[in-house]
Amino acid sequence: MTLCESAFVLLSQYFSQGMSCGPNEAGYEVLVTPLCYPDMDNIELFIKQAPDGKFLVSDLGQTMMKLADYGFVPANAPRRRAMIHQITTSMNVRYENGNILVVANESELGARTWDLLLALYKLSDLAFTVPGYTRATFIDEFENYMVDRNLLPYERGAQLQLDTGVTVAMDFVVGQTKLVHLLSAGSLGYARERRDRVYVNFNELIIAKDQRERIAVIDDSQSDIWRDDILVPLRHVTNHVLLWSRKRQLEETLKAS
Amino acid sequence: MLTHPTKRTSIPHDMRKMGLQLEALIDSIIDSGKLKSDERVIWKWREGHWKATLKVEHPEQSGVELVIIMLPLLSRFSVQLNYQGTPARRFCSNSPHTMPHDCLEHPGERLFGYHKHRWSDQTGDECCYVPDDMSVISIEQAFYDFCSECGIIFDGVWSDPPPTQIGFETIA
Repeated sequence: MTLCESAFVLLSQYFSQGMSCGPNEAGYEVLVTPLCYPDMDNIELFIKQAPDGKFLVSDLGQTMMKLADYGFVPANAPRRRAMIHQITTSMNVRYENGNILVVANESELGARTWDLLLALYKLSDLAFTVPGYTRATFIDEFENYMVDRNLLPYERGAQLQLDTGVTVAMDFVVGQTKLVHLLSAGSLGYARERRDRVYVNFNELIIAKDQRERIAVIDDSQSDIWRDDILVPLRHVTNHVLLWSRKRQLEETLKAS
Repeated sequence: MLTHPTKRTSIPHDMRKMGLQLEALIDSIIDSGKLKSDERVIWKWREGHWKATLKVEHPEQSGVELVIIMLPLLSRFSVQLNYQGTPARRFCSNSPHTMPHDCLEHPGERLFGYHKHRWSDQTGDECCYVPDDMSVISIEQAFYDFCSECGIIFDGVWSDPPPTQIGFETIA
């Protein structure tokens, strides 16, 4: 069996094991799927057979309800309506009074149900267009840590006016003497881009003969991204390159006077 | 059965200036016992569901509101406390939920029935627990229980969602 064939079999098993039939509700049979809304509630499909023998499969309004929970209200927002329209038309599913549905013959039920499931999954991700629905970033996590460890005082997002006339933005200024940049990335390309920006900022401090400590803190939860060839240039312009996973060293450095 | 996650210690509001993050701020607002609403529950028909939004007063914070949504086709509902647009707490009356792998409790497990989402800085609203002091006998009782659990004093007027004709109707 090839790797592809193994993956095909295992993925099929995983997907089918993740599905189950729930108790009937409102006259519909309920299929619980392994796909989830952004809050990790599982996407459910509600199925019944019409008198003409065709099958009606719908979310019974759950997706729009979820989006409403996040403040995604399409009522008077043409752009939001357009996004919904774009998804429903591309997946060839119907949008009726807040319900997303397909009607299918038995022979096409599998394919149409899959279209519906994908449409629901895509629609639910519109929640991420609502500003209130975002998780903490690495900079938030770092700030939480500063508060928890009582590494005070500090200033987040400080703008520094240098003697050369250049202004640089620091992620954190800790106490009076430590300038901190945080580096987190989900890809090598962005890691390089972020590294270059931090390099330029710290270099401006060197040119201005700023005596404060320059510290780079690396989010090494993606350890394969922050390779040596990415980090070497940073070492030329910093006093410390610290890893987020090594909290003790980080705390000692930030506390040292 | 899932249980309530360990409660965080309440942190004073003025710590916000020193970098207090959203989760702790939300916890401190809820733990303050100063949330109050005297609004009337007024239902509006949205995309396939009834929705009511109530302003919640707090002496030091703005942008706190209660949102109740009722899905008549399924008789399911959610009651939610928002802070500045973030879903701080949400009670879901009946839906399956899969706990993400980065939740502290029961990672990867699927649970059925009612549950309550709790905002965290790391996992957003993806982790939830089963409250042991909430009723799902009626949406009204669940609303009052939710208010009680979130420390909200509700002096307003409750009304049930209007009866709805069950079925699909095509809209343009």
